Amino acid sequence: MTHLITFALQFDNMKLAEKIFNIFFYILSIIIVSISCDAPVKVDSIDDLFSNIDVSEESLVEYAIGFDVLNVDNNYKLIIYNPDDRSLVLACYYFVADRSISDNKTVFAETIDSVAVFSATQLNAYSKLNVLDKVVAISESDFIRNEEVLELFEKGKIVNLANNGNFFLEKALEIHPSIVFYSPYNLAQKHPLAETNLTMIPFFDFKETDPLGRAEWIKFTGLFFNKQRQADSIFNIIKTEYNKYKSLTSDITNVPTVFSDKYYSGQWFVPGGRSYIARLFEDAGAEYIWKENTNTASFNIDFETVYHHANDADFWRIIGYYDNDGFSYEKLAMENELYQNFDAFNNKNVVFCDSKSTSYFERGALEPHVILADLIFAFHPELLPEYSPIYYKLYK
Amino acid sequence: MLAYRNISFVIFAVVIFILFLLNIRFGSVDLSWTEVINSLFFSNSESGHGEVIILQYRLPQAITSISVGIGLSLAGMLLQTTFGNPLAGPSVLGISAGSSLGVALLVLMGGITGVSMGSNSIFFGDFGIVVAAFIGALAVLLIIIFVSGRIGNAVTVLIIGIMIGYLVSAVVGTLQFFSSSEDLHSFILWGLGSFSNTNISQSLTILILTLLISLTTLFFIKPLNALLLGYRYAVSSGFNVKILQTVFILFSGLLIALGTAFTGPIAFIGLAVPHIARSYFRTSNHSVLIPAVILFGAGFSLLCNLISKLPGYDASLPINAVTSIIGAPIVIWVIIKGRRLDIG
Repeated sequence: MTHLITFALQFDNMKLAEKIFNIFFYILSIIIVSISCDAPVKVDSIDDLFSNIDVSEESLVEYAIGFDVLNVDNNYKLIIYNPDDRSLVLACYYFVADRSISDNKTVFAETIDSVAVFSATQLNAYSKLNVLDKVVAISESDFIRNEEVLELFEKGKIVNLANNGNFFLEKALEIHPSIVFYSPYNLAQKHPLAETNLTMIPFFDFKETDPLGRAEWIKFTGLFFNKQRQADSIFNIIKTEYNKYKSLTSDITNVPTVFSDKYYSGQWFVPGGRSYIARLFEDAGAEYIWKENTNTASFNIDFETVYHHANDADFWRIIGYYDNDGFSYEKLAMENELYQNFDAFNNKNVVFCDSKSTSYFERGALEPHVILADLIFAFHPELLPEYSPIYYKLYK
Repeated sequence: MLAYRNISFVIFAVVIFILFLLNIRFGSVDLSWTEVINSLFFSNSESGHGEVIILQYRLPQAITSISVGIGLSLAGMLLQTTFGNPLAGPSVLGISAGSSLGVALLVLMGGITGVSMGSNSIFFGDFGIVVAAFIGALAVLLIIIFVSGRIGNAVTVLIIGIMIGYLVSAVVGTLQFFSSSEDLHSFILWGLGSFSNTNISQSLTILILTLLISLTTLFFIKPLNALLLGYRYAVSSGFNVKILQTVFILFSGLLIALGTAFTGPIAFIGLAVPHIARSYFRTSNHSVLIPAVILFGAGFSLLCNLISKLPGYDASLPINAVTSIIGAPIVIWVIIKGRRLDIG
């Protein structure tokens, strides 16, 4: 009996089986097609993609030490290091070529359309890469001089998320940018917006001591907006120009001495011998008084130590700003009478950068070649006879 | 006893002179005694930059250090006697904070009202800062005197003083929030405290004014001693206590303002020195205490300045760190030892 029933069913379903097979095949095809087109990149295996790459050999980053970029078939891996210790990787981000959506915060497959940018130098990169429309929030709006940013700010398209170091947490949650780029001075300290669970990505260009390394962070920004090519070409122009100016001083025999900054309330903060400005002094053909020092950041010393070492230095570099018609030797002497004892003061060899009118702190990072040319023009005017300085000017 | 005191005074005067010379001799840059003596007493010494360091940097710093030490210590003593409170002092009662508020209003309000003072307009005038510091100090002093007139308890007045300090700091903090970065920068630098912000003429001006006020207090030995025995005793001795209190508070305010206007608030000197003087001479008699406080104030301040210079090192410590390290244990000692909280 059972046998009969089975046979009957087999017989009845001969055609049906064909149909079912067709439907099954159809569904299977859909599944296969959907897997091949829409399946998210397997995040667990994305590292495999880059596993065979030697970071030191194949990184697209030449000068910056705070990050590396790897490229495999237009898939990018961004590695961010602790700027104080490159052996520590702070975070890795992946930019995959296909447009699949991933929940994983470390994989960016879609175009990023809203970011908060807390570094004024990075905002300048946005201007250059033409992606300012992606910026929805900034911090410390009072200090921003970038006209395009200010215009968007006034129109309400960009909001301010911090004032004098106080962050507006609720506003940040309301705006909810896809990424918050921030520049922490102290990594051990939790950022006030860390509570919001927003994607926070550190931007450490200011930690770079190589002027070209600092400018190279435009590649970092370019990655997030699929603007790698533009970023590369902007950087390559900067690099070529910088090296062109640097080569001017390679054969000089007269190397003037230079010291830096001013005395404030019992302390003189002197840039370290391995700092950004020390490197610029060297490339501009000057001998920095504290070139033997191994600090990358500024360090404080007593007035008399500075005076002892620098009273007969040829040049004095100062950055800051003065109200009412800018810098003058009278104003400098009024700040502290002791300044009048320096040869550089008496010989009128102060190289001053008006940080306010030149927007040095915003624009300077992406114009190291201009800064270098300014300094060369101050130290060795004969090398650039037709040059007109932008940031640093020798005040006579 | 009298001879002992006089000998002590002479010894302390000599110690101050030695400390003064050490302050001139030692610093980040190693200069020889010959250079020091040549720079001080003979012009055109061999080492040009040594002369600059000594005459333009170390000398005004040492003179300012003496002046501020005397001024703050004497102010501390006057406040302790006037309020009958051993823990009264410029920094403890929030009077230095009041000075800060005065200076903050002057320096930071410019940014808020749109008239930026800027870090370069010091320039907002020395006189302006002294007046602002004085008005700020006086305002807090008036509040303290108002409160202490109603509440006799020394600790309560102290707590209220500390609260006023917090309140003033909060106002300063709020001002900072709205002020421009340049103004903020100059205010923060002022607030760090340093004896090296003065040139020789400014330091001599502070010294002369401080000594003038100090000498004037010598005319008030009797009423000060009467106040020690209490308000009623002073009244029954025929003194107009209200006027006296006002005079002493004005003196203290002036001394604190003179000290802090140029150097920023300096911690603990005003509180600690009168106690050191009292415990050394074992007396609260102002005929001994006033000269003792002047000498100890100058010496204490010079000693702190010498330590802060970290001779042999390129850097120096903030003066407030040193005065606090030495001053704070003294305050703790006073509280533990003098549970009765008297100033006798």
